[in-house]
Amino acid sequence: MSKKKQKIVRIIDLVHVYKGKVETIALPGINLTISKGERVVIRGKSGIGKSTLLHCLAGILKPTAGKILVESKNIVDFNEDQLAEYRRNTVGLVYQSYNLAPFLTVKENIEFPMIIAKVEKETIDKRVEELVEILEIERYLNQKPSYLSGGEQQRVAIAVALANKPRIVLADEPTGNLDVENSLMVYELLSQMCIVYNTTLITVSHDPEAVKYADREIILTKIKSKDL
Amino acid sequence: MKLMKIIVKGQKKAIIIEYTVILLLLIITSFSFSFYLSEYHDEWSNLVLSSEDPDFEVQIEQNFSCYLSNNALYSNHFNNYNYQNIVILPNILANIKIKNESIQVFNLVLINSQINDNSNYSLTYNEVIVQGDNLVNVKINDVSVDWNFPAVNGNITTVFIANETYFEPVFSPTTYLQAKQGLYGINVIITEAFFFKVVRDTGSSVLENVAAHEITIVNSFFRMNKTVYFNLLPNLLKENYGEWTKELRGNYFQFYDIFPLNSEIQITISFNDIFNVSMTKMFQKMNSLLVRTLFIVIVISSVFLYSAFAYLKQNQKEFGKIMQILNSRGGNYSSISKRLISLHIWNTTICILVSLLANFVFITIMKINDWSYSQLLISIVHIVAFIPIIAIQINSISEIGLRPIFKEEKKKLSYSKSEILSIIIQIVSVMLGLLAITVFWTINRTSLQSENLSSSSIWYISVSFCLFILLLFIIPRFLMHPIERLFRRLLEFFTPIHLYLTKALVSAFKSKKKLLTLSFFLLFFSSLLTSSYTTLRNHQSQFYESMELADISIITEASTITEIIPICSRDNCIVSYLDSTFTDKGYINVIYIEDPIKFYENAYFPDELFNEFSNRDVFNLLNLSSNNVITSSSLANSVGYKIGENISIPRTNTNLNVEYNIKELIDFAVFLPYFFPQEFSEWFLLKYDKNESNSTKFQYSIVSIMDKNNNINSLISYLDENNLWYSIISDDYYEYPNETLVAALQLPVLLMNIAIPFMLIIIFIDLQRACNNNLRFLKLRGMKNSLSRLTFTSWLFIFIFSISFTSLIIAIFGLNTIVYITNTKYGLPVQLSLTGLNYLIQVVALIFSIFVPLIASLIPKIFRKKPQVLNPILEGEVKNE
Repeated sequence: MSKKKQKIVRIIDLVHVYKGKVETIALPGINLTISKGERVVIRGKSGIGKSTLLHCLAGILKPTAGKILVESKNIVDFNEDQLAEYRRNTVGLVYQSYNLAPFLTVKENIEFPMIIAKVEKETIDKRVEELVEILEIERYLNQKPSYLSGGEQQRVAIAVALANKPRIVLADEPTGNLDVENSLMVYELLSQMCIVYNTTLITVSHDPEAVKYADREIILTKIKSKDL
Repeated sequence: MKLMKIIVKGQKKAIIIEYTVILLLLIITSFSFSFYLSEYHDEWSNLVLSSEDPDFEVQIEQNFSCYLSNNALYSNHFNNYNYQNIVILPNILANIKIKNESIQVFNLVLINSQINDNSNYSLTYNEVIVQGDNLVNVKINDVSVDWNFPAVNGNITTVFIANETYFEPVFSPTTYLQAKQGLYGINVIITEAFFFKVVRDTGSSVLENVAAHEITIVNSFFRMNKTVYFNLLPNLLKENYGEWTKELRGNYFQFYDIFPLNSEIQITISFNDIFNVSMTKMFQKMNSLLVRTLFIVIVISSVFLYSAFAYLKQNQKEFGKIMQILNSRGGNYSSISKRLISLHIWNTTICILVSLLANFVFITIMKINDWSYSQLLISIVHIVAFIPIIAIQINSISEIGLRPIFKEEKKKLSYSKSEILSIIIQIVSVMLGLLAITVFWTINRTSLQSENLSSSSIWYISVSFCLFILLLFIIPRFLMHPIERLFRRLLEFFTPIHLYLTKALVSAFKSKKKLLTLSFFLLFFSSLLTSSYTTLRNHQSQFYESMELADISIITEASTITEIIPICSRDNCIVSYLDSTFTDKGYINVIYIEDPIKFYENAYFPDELFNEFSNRDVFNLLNLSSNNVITSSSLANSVGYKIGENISIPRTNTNLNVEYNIKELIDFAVFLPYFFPQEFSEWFLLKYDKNESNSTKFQYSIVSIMDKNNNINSLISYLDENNLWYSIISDDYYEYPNETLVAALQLPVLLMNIAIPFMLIIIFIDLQRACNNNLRFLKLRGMKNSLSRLTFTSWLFIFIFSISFTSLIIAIFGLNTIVYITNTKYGLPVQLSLTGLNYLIQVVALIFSIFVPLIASLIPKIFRKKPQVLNPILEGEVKNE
């Protein structure tokens, strides 16, 4: 009998409406539970609300209604400072367009989340060394991201996301800009890293290949308030 | 050469467009100035070439014997001047019969060669013209004129009967003396040469027997020959005109002082200021036209320069591709870059040559090609236009180097080489400019009215000017480094991520380099204009205040002072005496002041302008002894005096001889000439020694009265009735020389101080957007919003503080150089004056820098530029809903 896994994320009746001339219901009332260390892929058609869901999870977008319980704390109620701390320590973000600071070198990009989290210098150095070795990006440490290829940049983005050993990694179309070979490599790396560090991985993707590296596939459809 | 051909081929379209834009810019700019020049030329020619008004008129009434004895000396004394003489001789000397009827009332008129040569009918010996009204039916044979004394070879032939209007242009050159001339009725006109031949042949005693005590009126009209100044700067003409009138006046007094017999002579002098007035009017008219032309030129140039700049920027992308292709085929960056620079310079040079040619044709059509101003101004316009064009071209080429065309690190080296090349070109240009300005100035010292400037002063000015230009263009480029270091140091105390924050902000600011440069120049121009305005306003008020010794100064004949003093009460007025004398060093005025301390207390002294002592010390010294003298620095320098030296002051003694008193020059002040009108500008100020009062002959006395203690109007009426005064100096007597400039600056300063803050806030909002885009990367990784806001605000504040005060300092430095040049010409030195207004734009900029996030949030959404989307996730971060 398998040991019951600890729930790390609980989404309860999550609603998000984009306001404008025409109101768009992006999330109609989502309920979702994700266990610690679980690798989840969220799939669905374009405009179905995958990214919105992920943004809400990352604390970047405040939902219109509902709850997001991360480690039993409702991040919807967090103030700006708490959200900043949440992004700093709890989640790591990987984006389709990498979102690496173009004005920092690769090394500085990886170091930054740790420095802001006031990690000691020695620990930072060790961690950077460890990450760059696993991700094979030693060569680019002192270069600016714009000098790297897409695959290389995404590997750096993974290092940045994992720098602070987050409990959850949120990946939004991480292979959207990559070719098949690089895509597989990114999935492999994300998956492996999450296994190594016991990190929960929530990936939003169109790519059916992503499912191969996930424990669970969630498909968002137009059906309202479907419990997932 | 092949490489060049390839570049030209690839850039053909760009070159044609660039060529068209630059050519249009040059032609429109220079044609606008040519129109201005043409207007100026017309006005200037009318003023200088066809000015018929006499500049100095004298009417002397004397008896006939006096006239006869003085005439030869008079002619010799004034033979260097261009003047017309109309003398009304006693008509008793001649008889005139018309149709055998003897005429009793007529004028016997002598004209000098100047009139005779210029009239339509030139008289020779023995000839006479009879002029008058109602002579229409009179024929030459009906008129007979003969002398009323036995003349030797003095037969007179009437050659012409002229109507009343025939001599009008020469007899009525101005309305001032016309009424007194009495040239009405019948005039018998003969030449001076004929008359004095008769005098010589007959003997003056014969004529004196007839008319010794009869009144003879001599009307002299002096005209300054201004045509020689046609190709010089107007101010030089104005200055020389002032000198000329002063010298002529001095000559007159000197001439008549020499003749003690002339005590019966009555002299009426009219110094016509018509030329100065019309010149001032012309300047005002032309200044307003210049402002309009400049405005049009600035707007047009800005549009064209911006178009050129925008096009070149757009072209960079295309050119980047060409460079990449050429590079892949073996061409290296520096050789391509060098050729590109040559191509641009060649392009610009062709444009300038074409434009110069077009302008030459244009000014030839406008018939101003032989005028040196037109050539000078058109050249200046082209040089001035050339600088921004080249700057833009070099900038655009450097920008190509900046772009990461190649990924390899070694390509960074190419960029630095290109930047070094650009800096070298700029420095060499500045050095050449320095050399050109200095040489130009040194060669044209006379026409630029800078004779009193030594070579070292010219070098000082040129170096300061070039330093100013260098600072102006280099400082904005390098200002970022010290600000970055300072900011990082400050931030180090507050957050461990100081390095990252600084990099984010610096990177954002570097991406907005042009906007930052623009804001620097906006602040600089605003500072320069505002400082110029406040300085000129201050100088203007000093000028007017320093002209008032008291509320009013009355210049009287020295002999009438005893009548005036009791009327206005000695306690309430300041009395001084003026002695104008010719010395070996020229014509100077010496003012003897009765009570120097009273003078000091009533005068306005801008700051402490005396060199060694305080203002009060100087006047105390002057008050203590009549052996001290103070004067203006320009005069002291021009005659080679130094402080502490003994100088010889000329003085006319009772025997009307000039004697010299040795006095000590205690100090000099540079502004004092403005306490008196300009006609008394070259003077020495001494204490009046009462013991000598009876033995001294002064030409004028000056009574300065305070209005509060006297009823000025009734006093003036009294003086007027009794003919006791000569002229009045009041505060509105002279207009401030830069009056038009001050008035013209008012509106631009106001507009700049209103418009620039708006422009700044738009720039700041754009900067905030750029910074937020960079800071978002850090916020995504857990940086707090509050820290982001605080960092941006403090960074912007430090940056704006640095650039605004640096721009202010550079503006003041530049203005100081201009003031230094100006002060070599003006008696009253211009002093830099900074008021609250000078700091207004800086303070407003700083306030805006603090409140920019708030202001940005207040701007309606429709005016906001959509932020650059780096990732869809960032869109959601804009606002929590």
